[in-house]
Parts: sequence; structure tokens; C-alpha cells
Amino acid sequence: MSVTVKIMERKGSSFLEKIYLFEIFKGMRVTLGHLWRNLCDNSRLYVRHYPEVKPEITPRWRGRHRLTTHEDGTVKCVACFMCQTNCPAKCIMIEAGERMDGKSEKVPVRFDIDLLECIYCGYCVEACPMDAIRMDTGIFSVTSYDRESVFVGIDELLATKGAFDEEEYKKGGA
Amino acid sequence: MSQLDILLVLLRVAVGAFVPLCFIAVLVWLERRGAAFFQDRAGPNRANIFGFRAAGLVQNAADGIKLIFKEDVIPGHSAHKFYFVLAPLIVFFCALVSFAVVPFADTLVLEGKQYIMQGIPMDLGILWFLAITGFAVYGIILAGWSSHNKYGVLGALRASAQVISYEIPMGLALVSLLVVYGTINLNEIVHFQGKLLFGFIPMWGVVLQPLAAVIFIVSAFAETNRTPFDLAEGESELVAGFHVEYSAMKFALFFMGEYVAMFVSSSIIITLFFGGYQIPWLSTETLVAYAKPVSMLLMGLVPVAAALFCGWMMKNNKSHYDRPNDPRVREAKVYRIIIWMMVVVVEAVLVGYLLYAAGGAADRILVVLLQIVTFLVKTFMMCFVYVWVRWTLPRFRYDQLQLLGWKMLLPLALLNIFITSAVVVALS
Amino acid sequence: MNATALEKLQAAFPEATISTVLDSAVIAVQPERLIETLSHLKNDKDFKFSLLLDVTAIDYLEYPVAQEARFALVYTLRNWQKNMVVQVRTPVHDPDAGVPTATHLWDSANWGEREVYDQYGIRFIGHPDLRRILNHWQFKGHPLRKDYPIKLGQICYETDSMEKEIRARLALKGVSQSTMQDINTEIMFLNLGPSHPVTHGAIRILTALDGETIVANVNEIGYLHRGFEKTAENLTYNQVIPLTDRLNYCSALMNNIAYVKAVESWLGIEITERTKFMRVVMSEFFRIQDHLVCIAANLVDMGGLTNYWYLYNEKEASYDLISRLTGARLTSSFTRIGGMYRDFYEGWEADMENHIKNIEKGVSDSYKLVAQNRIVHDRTQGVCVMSKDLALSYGFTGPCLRASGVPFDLRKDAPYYNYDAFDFEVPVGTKGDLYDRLMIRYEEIFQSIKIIRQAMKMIPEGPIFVSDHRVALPPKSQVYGKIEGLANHFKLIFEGVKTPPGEWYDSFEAANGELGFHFVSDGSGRPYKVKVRPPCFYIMGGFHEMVEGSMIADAVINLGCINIIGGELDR
Repeated sequence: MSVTVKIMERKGSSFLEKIYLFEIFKGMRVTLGHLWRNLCDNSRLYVRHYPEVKPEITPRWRGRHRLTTHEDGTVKCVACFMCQTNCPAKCIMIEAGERMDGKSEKVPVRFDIDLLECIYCGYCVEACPMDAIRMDTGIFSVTSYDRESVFVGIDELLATKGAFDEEEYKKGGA
Repeated sequence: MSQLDILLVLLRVAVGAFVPLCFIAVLVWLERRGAAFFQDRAGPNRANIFGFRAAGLVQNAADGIKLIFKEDVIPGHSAHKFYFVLAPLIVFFCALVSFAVVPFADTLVLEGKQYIMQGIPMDLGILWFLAITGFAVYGIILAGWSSHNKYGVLGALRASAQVISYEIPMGLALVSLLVVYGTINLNEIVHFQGKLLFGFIPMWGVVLQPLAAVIFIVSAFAETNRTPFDLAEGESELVAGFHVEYSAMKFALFFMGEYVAMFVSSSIIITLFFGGYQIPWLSTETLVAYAKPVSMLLMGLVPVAAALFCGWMMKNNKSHYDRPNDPRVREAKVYRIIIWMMVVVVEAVLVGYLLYAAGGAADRILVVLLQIVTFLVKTFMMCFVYVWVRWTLPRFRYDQLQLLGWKMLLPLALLNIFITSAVVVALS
Repeated sequence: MNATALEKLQAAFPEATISTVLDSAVIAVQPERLIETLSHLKNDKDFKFSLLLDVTAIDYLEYPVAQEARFALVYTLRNWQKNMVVQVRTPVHDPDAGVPTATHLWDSANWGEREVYDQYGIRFIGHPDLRRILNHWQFKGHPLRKDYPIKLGQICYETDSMEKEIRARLALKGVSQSTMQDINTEIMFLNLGPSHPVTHGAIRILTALDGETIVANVNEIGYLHRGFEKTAENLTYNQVIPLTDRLNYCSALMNNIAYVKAVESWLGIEITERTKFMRVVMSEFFRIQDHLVCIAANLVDMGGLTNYWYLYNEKEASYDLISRLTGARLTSSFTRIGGMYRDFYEGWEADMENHIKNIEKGVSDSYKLVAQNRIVHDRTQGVCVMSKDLALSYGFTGPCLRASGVPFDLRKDAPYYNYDAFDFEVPVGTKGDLYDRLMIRYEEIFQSIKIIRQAMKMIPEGPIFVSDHRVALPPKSQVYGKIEGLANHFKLIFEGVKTPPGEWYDSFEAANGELGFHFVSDGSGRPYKVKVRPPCFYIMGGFHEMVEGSMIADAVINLGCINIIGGELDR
């Protein structure tokens, strides 16, 4: 097992290289090979026909966020502020309120994420002790016509469903 | 002048003026699609009219419309606005006019009169082309200077030095060709190339004068500012070089002028070196004499070619992903119908010719048409070589380009003249 | 740093305080003896510290332990032959009065000290060109000082004409005033950038041209300065990791790994074997990506656009693997202190082998178009040469230094993560011209592929995180269930991974060269100071040496060849 030093060879001193044309023809043969292969069968072209063909999104992909719910539809988040603290971009703004249905002490009254500030690092998901926030919506393209609609609130976050079922998510992501 | 005279004059001017213009569209398409296929990608494939993409040809229309509607900018700080507007006109005009001497078919003999098949039937031949191409560089210099922009000035300087440097090897390569052919008239040069060497090799320029061919082709690349000699407009160095301040239609004129120049250079190259409009081994007289067998052969070949093309098209012209009511499949089916209809028309014309008009003027017209098609096919293939070289090679640096022109091509061209003259004198 | 070296240092500098930190020695001297110490370290035959890696300063205003003065200045030096790193530090009592400059010893001190002046306001007496480098010329104040509020941004309203600087450079090159006035031999000033297709980002290269030859060259950087270091002072150690992604964004995971390696070495954590191999595989994979980008962009500048596609198509394909593994295409944020974010996914070996095969094919296609093409030889051989001594003096590291003939590679000379167990070659050039820099990158791609194949065979099964509760977040089942898990999780998130107080420097062989991190810790979970030693900053500092005397076309491809990544250059 060794790490050795290799002195790079300097090409260009042979006659065939100096007359330009010979190597140029060899290079032209390489490009013609590509052209011929693509012409004969143009499904070999390295093209993704977006937006008709979307890229593959795996469960681990950090897309847009969503807040998860219990089976009965109530929000899982307990407003512990861990995601807000752990976010390097400080893009989550939570306001806590009292929870009435007894599942926990607190519930988020306001949960805003500024998607333009977000750096899509996934630290909020990592920090959450309740598995309440996830980034598995599969939305990889966050676009809008104005700034206001990119500032999502708790209703939008609760409304979006995940793009994967629980088993896939556990295997790939969480 | 009789009606026939007027008709033929109009026809020749039309071909001489409009074929290059139509070829611009084909060349732009070839460049973009060819580049894409060399690089494993698709090229323009979205612009369509009611779902008909024509493999990207419709993109030319889209580009044209866009360029017409773009804002036309004339730099306010330039003191020479007249030259700013004049420059692309010079480039475009010179490129277009230099096609006038290229013969796209052999001399047509109708009712006893000879009609030279060139845009302008004069016998200046190759001298016209040399003179006019040299003039086009004024456009580039004026463009760079009047842009009042350092990048433009640098681009203009580079272009002017480059064109001047490469005119000389081009001319000298031609001299040795002229020694061999003995004439400057391009039509006679093509006739000369119809003769056979050792009984079976057509005496094409590239066979008789390979070194001159190489020098001329390299110089032609340099004259038209195509990679590897495109440092006048080197995108990554001088942003856009001499046309950095141009937008909309004036930029389009430069762009089109470059493609016309490429087309004309290709046609000159094939006329001088690859037999021009001639089908190898079949001179005009042979074709006229055997007009009937030739047309029967055509009747057989055209459907075969159409069948092969349709097979390839049906296999490839579909969306390679799940797409309901695939418009590309529908498009391919429509094209197949159109192609077969065209085949039927061609066959009908040929049958009509065979039954009613064999012998006489129709023979010659058929031969002329065949020669025009050969000419266009050969020019297209040479243009493809231009595109192929562009997407394979990196570009030269300014001083290395000068070195190549003056220190390598010029002595080689002179050497070639000496050797050719010696051989010609010895053989005669 | 072994004992004999330490003894020699103590003997050479009797009144200095010498201590060891990780494997470097730290020499603390007074400002009067600074230049003497530095020059002894550079010139003495026992020491020969020919590479000045970095110059930085520290503002101790909010440091819990009282220091001798508010500011301290640190010079980090390396002896590449004997693998020794030394940090010379000195207290700076009055930043306006300043300290004497070290530019006469190493040329890399020129830009290093300019950065210290820009960020901290310490003047350097005798510096040839002391002006701001990362912040704009109209900036008031010194941002990395602790009393500069982080939210105070300042807008620059006027371009810096840099006329004084370029004229000074012209005078240095021997162009007299009379030549400047004479219209026939007048020098033309041309700006390449900041927005120009060749700069691949925003860098301003102001050239003074005589025809097409560059007579003088002055560069302006800082267009992508986002204040990484100041931002990092307000975040915990783990929170800085996504920010490191955005440093060298072509090889994001390498920056993640370099950063956590530096923190782990201070904490004394030995990561698991599987993590070591994972980090090696991913480092080499990202090194390939970075080199693909560099070669492709360089060949585009040369005019050979097809190579860009042959190389980039494979890079695009690799993003499939990267996004499946890390969850994002570019900004991986895949490491954590103590291990990795997640393990490899099932089936990764087949994917990786497939991508490597395609990369080999694409690179050999491009190689066939380039390696023996005389046009490329003419453009790159003998052009923009950087000699060995000058390269070392300017602080070059990585492929650019190896092109000049210095066989220095951290993977060979100071191996970490079992690199000495692999079988590979380090390509070294002979002349230091563009050709060497380009060909070395091609060869490094092939060598990295070799390393990845070997590592894939050797990678063991096992955990990817150390089981150290000071560092590792507890598994989610414990967080949801047990109170100790929850409390541990809570403390790690709110307070961060606590590091013992002190200062240290650690380095890593990134795609561009030596990526170093200099930390100052006050004992809490947030770094008191983070300084990145960016490889391409110092290479850009030597750009004018390479370019003056050649033509614009050469300057253009030189910029591509040295792989300037804006994120790393400007932070």
C-alpha cells in the first residue's frame, strides 16, 4: 500500500502531434462517434424532458416542509422551539399557546417559515423530538409570483401531505 | 431577348440570391442540432406550430421573430452611428454577392443558346470571389470601431489581421490550382475535374492537389471566422468581440452573414476540389445521352430512400417518455404521408417525362436538376464538416494564428506552387 | 511535531513561549521580535518554513479569559518537507499603530495581511498595498471586530477605479509616465469582469494592455463576500456545517468533512472506521466533481465546448447518487461532529460503480480530444508559468503547487483517515504552466477513482456515529421516550457541542489545495472565532505573477485553470 509521486508526461513533441491534422482527425472521429450513436437512436440523448419528466425524488430529499398530525388530525407539534433554535438561517417563527385537548401542554398558535430564507438543511427535522416537522413533501421547486406567498403559515404546512408512505420514509429518511 | 432568356435570367438570379438565404435556415438548424447531437443533448426541440416541430426547423422562425421585435440599440456615446448601422450591411452584402460566380449546374443548352448556370453569368470566376470576400472584413472593422467599446475594438483588430493574413495562403494555394487547371473560370474547372486519372479516379482537386486543398480549406475556415479561428468573436475572451454592442436585427445580419459566408466558402471548396456539381464518373454529355436509363434508376431509388428515411423517422420521432396522444408520433405520421405524396409526384413527373418528353430539351433540364441537387448535397456535407470541426477543436490564440498563417501555410503554399509547376512542365 | 523539533524551536527562541496544540507548535512572541522570529523560521536550515499558510487575527473583547491585549495576530507556517506546522502569535496593543509586515518574507502575506486589516483594522507597517480586500472600498469599520453589529450592512455606491493601484503596478513594471502620455505607445486599460463570461462568478481583473500583452494586472475580489466567519460566531458548531457547504460549492461535502475533522481533532474524538471510509469515498467522489467542473469550464474558455458536455453529463448523473445519499444535490450538509448524518443507502455500491465507469468514459473521451491536440499544447504549454519558489512564496497548495513541481499533498505527507493504506499516485508537474495544471487534474480524477474502488472494497460495516453523549444526538426512540435522552438532545440543540477552550488549526486536502480551519473556542458550544484558510484565495493572490507578460487570451484560460470558486475565495 503506497502513495507514490507520478511526474506528468508532457506530450506534444512527436511529429504526428506537431502537424495538427492527424490528431485533429482523431478528435473528429470521437465526436462523430457520438453524433452517429445519437442519430441512430435518439433515446440515448442525455436529456430530461422537464417539466413532463420530473427528477427522481427519494424519501431523503429535503423538499418543502410540512407539519405532521396524529391519527385524529391534530397537530403533533408541541411548540418546544427546538427547530427554531436549531435553524441556522433563523427562518422559523413560532408562537406557543395553550393546548386544550390534553395531548400536551403547548400547541403552536403561529408557525411561520420564510421559505426564501430557508437553506433546506434539514436541521429542523433533526431537532424535532416529536417527529412533527418533516421535509418529505417531494416539492423540490419552491416558486411563486410574490414574496408573501413564500412565507408559509401553519395552515399551509398542515395541509400538505407527504409524498411517501411511512415505511418508505423510515427506511430512507428518518 | 426572348421569353426564355428572361425566364432563365430570373431563374439564375433567384437561385443565386435565394438559395444562400434559404440555406441560412438550414445551417442554423444544422449548427444547433449538430452541436447538440455531438454533445449528447437534444438541441432546440420545443418551438412548434400546432405540434409540428420539424426537428427544430421551426426554431428558426421563432428566432427570427424574436430578433425582429428586440430593442434595437445604437450606443449613444458612439460618434459614428452611420458606420454602426452600415457595418452589418457590408458583411451581409459581400457574403451574399460572392456567391454569384459559383456554377450550380453545367451550361444549359436550350434551343441552340447556351445559358451559363451561375448567379451572374460572367467569366471572372474565382477572382470575383477573392475580391469580394476580402471586402467583407471592412464591415467587421467598422463594427468594432464604431461600437466605441474596447472589446469591440480588440475584436475588430484581431479580425482584420486574421483575414489579411489568410488571404495570402488562400491566393497562393489557388495559384497552384490554376497552374493545374489552366483557367480561372469555375465552370471549366469543374469540367476539368470530370476527367479520369489512371482511368478510374476522377481528377478531383483534392486528388491532384492535396496540399493546396488542405491550405485552402484551412484558410477558408480562417476567412469566415469559424472555430478554431473565431477569436474575433471569441465568446469567452472578448465577450462577443466586434458585435458586442449589436442587438436585434443588426446582430441577426452579422449572424446571417456569417452563415452565408460559410455556405459560399463551402460551395467554392467543393467546386475547386470536390468536383462541384458533377456526379463522379458521369459527365453532362453522358447523362444527357443516357437520360432514359438514369431517370428509370431514379424512379427506383427515390422510393427506396424515402422508405429508409421514413423508417428511421418513425423509430426516432417520438417522445421517449410516457406521453398520452404523443404529438410527435402524430407529426411523424403526417410527415410520412407528405413524403410519400412527394415521392408519388416525383414518380409521376418522371413517368410523364419518359413517356412524352424523352429526348430533346427535357433531357437537359433533367440533367440540370440532378446537378443542382448534387451541388446542394455536396455543399451541405462540406458545411457539416464546418460544424463538425467547430465542435471538436478549441480556438487558437491570436499570435499562434498569425504564426500558422505566415510561417507555416505561406511557405507550404509556395513550395506547392514550385512542385506543381515542375510536375506540369515535366509532364507536358 | 516531535520532541526534537520542539527542542530546536525552544533553543532558537529562548524568550518565546512555546506550546503544542494538536500537532502544531505555537510560538508566542512580543511584537518587537515578530519579524525576527518569522524570518528565522523561514530561512534557518533547521526550520525552512517556506509556506505561509494563513494570517489571521483574533479580537478578545468578549473572551472570558483576560488576554494580554485586545487583539492577537497569528501567522500559520508550514514546512512541507518535514510536515511541521507552526503558529506564531503576537499580541497587538494598538491596531492603528500596527505591526511590521511580513511581505518581504512571503508574498502570500500581502493578501493575508490585507484581509486582517480589512476585517480587524490592524495596520501593517511597510505593507506595499494596504487596502481592503473582501469588503468594498467605501466600507467604514472593521466587521470581524466583536463590537461591529452583525446586522449593519453598508452599500457601495461607486466603483473603485483602482487607477492608483494599476499605475503603481505599471511603474513597478518599468513603464514610464512619458510612455503613458504618448498616444502611439499608450497603454489601454481593460476590465475583465466583474461580470464577464470567463470569470465564472464575479472577480474583477483590471489589466493594462499594450496591444494584446498584459503589462500590469490588479485584481479586485470580494463580490461574493457573505460574512461566513461573522455568521459562524453566532451559531453552534453543528449549525455551521450547512454554511460550509457554500464555501467551495463544487465540492460541498469536502468542506463539511474538513470542518468536522477540525472540530473532532480538538475534541479528541476518534470516529468509527466506517465513517472514516465513508468520508474518504465521498471526499474523493467530490474531488472528481470539482475537477470535472474545473476542466470543463477551462476548456469552454479555450473554445472546445464539446468537452464541457462530455464531462458535465457525468457530473449531472452523479447528482442522482448524491441526492439519494444526502438529500440535496449541491448543499449536502452530510457530516456531523462525531459522524455522518445518515448511512449509505442500500445499493449504493452498484450506483457508485456505475457512475465511476461513466465518468471514466466521459473523461477519456474528453482526454482524446485534448491531450494530443496541438492547438491545446500551443495554448497551454509554456504559458503563465509559475516557478516553484514563487509558488511556495505565494502560498499555493494543491494541484497548482504540484504543477510547479512541489510534490506536496496532505494525503501523502500528513495522512489522515487511513489514506496511507491506499495505493495511489500523486501527479506532479514539471514546469508550472497551464498544461501541467490541466493535465494534473485529469490524472487526479483517475487516481481518485482508484481510491474509491479500493475504499469500496475495504469499507467495514458498523455504526457511523461515535457513541459519545457529548457530541452525538441520541437516537429518536430515546428522545421520544426517555427523559435523559430528551435532556441530552435539548442541551445539544440549544447549547451546541461544547469544546474545551483554546485555539487550534487543522487542515485537509481539498480539491483546490489545503483547506484549513483555525478555531478559537471560549469553552461554549459556539465557536468564538472560525477562520477558513481558503486555498484559492492565496492562488488568486499570485494571479498577477502568472499573467503579467502574457496575452489576454492566456489570462482568460489561466483564471479557469486555477479553479477560482467565488464561495471559497470570498467566503
